[in-house]
Amino acid sequence: MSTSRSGRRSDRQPSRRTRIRAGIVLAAAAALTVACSSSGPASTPETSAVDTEATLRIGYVGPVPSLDPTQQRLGGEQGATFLLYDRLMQLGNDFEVKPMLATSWEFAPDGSYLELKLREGITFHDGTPVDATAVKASLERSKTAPGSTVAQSLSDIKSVEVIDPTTVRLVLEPGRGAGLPTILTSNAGEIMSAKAIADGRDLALAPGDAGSGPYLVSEFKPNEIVVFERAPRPYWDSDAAKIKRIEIRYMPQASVGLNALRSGQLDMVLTTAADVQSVQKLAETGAVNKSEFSLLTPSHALFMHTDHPAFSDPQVRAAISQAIDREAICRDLLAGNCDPRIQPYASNHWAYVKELDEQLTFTPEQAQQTLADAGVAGVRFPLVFTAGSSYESVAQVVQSQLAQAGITVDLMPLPSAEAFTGFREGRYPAYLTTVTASAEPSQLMDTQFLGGYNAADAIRDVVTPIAEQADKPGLSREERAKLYGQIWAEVNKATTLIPIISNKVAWAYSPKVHGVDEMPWSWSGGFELRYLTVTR
Amino acid sequence: MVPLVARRVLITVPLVVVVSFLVFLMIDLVPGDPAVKLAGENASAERIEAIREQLHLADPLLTRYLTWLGGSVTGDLGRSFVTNQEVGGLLWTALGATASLVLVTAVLMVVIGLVLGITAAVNHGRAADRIVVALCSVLVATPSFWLALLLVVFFAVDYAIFPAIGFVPLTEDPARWLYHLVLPGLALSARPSAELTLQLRAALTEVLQRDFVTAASARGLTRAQIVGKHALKNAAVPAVTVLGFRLAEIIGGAVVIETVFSLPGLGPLMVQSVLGGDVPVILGIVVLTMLWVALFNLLTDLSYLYLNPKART
Repeated sequence: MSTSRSGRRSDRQPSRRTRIRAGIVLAAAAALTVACSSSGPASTPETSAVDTEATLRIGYVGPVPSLDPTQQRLGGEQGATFLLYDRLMQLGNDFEVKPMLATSWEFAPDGSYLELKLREGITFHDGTPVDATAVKASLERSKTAPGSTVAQSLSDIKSVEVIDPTTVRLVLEPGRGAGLPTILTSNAGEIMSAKAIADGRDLALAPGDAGSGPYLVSEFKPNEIVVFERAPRPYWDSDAAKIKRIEIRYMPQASVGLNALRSGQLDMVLTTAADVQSVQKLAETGAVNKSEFSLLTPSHALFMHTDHPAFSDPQVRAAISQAIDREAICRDLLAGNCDPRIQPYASNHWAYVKELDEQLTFTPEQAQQTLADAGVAGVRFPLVFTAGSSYESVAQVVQSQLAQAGITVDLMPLPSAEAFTGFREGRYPAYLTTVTASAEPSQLMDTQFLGGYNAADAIRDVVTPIAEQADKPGLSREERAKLYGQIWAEVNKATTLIPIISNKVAWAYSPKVHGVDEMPWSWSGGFELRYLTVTR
Repeated sequence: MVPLVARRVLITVPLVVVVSFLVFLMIDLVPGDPAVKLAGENASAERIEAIREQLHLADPLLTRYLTWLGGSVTGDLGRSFVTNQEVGGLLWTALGATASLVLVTAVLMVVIGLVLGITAAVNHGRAADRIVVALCSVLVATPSFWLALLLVVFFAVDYAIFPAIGFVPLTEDPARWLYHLVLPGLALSARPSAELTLQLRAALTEVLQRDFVTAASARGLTRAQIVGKHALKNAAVPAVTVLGFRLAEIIGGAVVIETVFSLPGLGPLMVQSVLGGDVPVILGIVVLTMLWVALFNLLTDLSYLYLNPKART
């Protein structure tokens, strides 16, 4: 466990650093701290062992091209701006929404608005107050900025009203907005200085002091490296910002990052399915620690246009799902580093339905019987997916599994943009891709089921009323879970979407780094670094 | 010399125009709309259309190309679709890492090629010659990425002598600049060094059998004087040809090596821009690569003029 050769230098010196500082890490007591002022989700080492002058160097497989929250296209990018900007709320690992800039919130009795009480006495680094006016300016920018990637997430907000300096009211589109608190825990809820917005600052490349978060950017080379330094002034959340400097470096391949971790040039690296096995072996030697996470939503799912002749018969779609051996894909193709999936959410999410997993069976004989009952023979369809990606090998296995049930799949690897554009435009009938990692089911409905990929198009009449009901403000989480459970059941009954598997990702890190196990947003393949600590 | 340079420049200009247009055309023909890519998977149709208009992607192909070409002539290569940075600045930054890698690679090539080539030639037919030839045969057949991984595992992971990743600009710290480029330089130079060695060995062996060498030896010149002052210059033309071609080509190999060592050069920039559909950056890299190749071809030709007086007439 303590054979780390990690250092906090920006790069290594020729001499090998092998001294073991035993006892420091293992003596640390794990504790979950959940306080009103923070989600404090770290297993914290002894205070005396924490090195508050430490540098944490991270290798991440996703590039960070922009620091503007409204221009981020991939989930991993928001991990960088989480350090710069505070959000209105934050998300715990139990998917409970917790306070951040907003200390409390409440829907109007009639569901017409969501009112937020803001934390008092907070200022941006430029000295202006984090008040209702700033929240209004920020949310309005996020909704209207050209090319904003969060505009759709905020579409439930009709307008923003300033009630008083610490009270802001989000006026909602009628009957919508139940998922807004969760949505505001993401980059959609990041609050920027009204002054920086008014000044037209280039928030993508040089955000400067536009945030109120625990860190400031000291160096940013898009798609290469972003370096954060802890802001000099005290931060309102005493559980955060225990590390002085954080460097996030883009790693084109996780294996390159693993080499850098082993040589002591990095302290923490994210690896995906293919490299999880390597991390496991390294962890067994004690050279690194490992924290493994299952992705919340299926990393591989088969989307279909149910109006295409190959998929118009629900029995054919059911037969396809029955003929896919998900266990075998996980076991034989991905060395066990994935979970078979039959529904959108993993078991740790509140919208997961345990009973649905009973359908997670591989029944090739039943698939053949289903096709025979339907009187269908010679089913054949082209399957598109992103070329040169992890989809390729899964597609090949699916192809061979379906062939055993008499279904012919023509594989069509394409550039990613063409694959999803072509599918969305109806040029390709089937698409193997990821179900977007969102903790809020209403977002999945908008982007995957009733919009975007339209996975529930064939049963729109059934699903839409339930989805509208579930999006009504004021419902409890249990009430919403029940409604979304009904939707997943309907989707499975009509087999309009075929979830297949969910990859595992693993953080490999120096034993000096703490809190990775409890790091929020790991379920998305992303990160929230503000509560990590590094020991001496 | 001046007419040669002028002729090359005159050829290069239309070549850049033609090739850049062909690349522009090919990018346009590749399936996949950059606006969709930029908007993200969950974007609405309105948002995709807004991006398309913002980036003038709906304009006719020729209009877009001429707009780009017009800007390029004035030194404005446009802005990255993805990061909104100026393409010229992006290329300049990335070129710093790639040029550094190429410089170190070139020095290693010359040093390794000269040492091994001369050793093999002056010991022609003996054990040293055979060892050099065997070693070079292995290196010629060794993929650079594989060698790079071996070097990383041995020198960075196991023995921590050199870093596994990263780059420090020369202006920031020359020692650390070199320290970070030793392993990538070795990986990238291994194959061309072996080719240079074999070329030099063959040429020098032939030159050392000529009459003027026997005469020089009879006049009492030492072996080192004969090789260093006379034979090497005569044997240099084919070796310089190999060196010039390899330095021109090396920018392609740098893509892989820069990825393995996480160097912020033109290679990763090229990969990122292709994956992201970042047309202005792709075009900028194409133009830069063409100029790079043209420059090294010109330098190779100029070196002929220096080494071979007959070529000056």
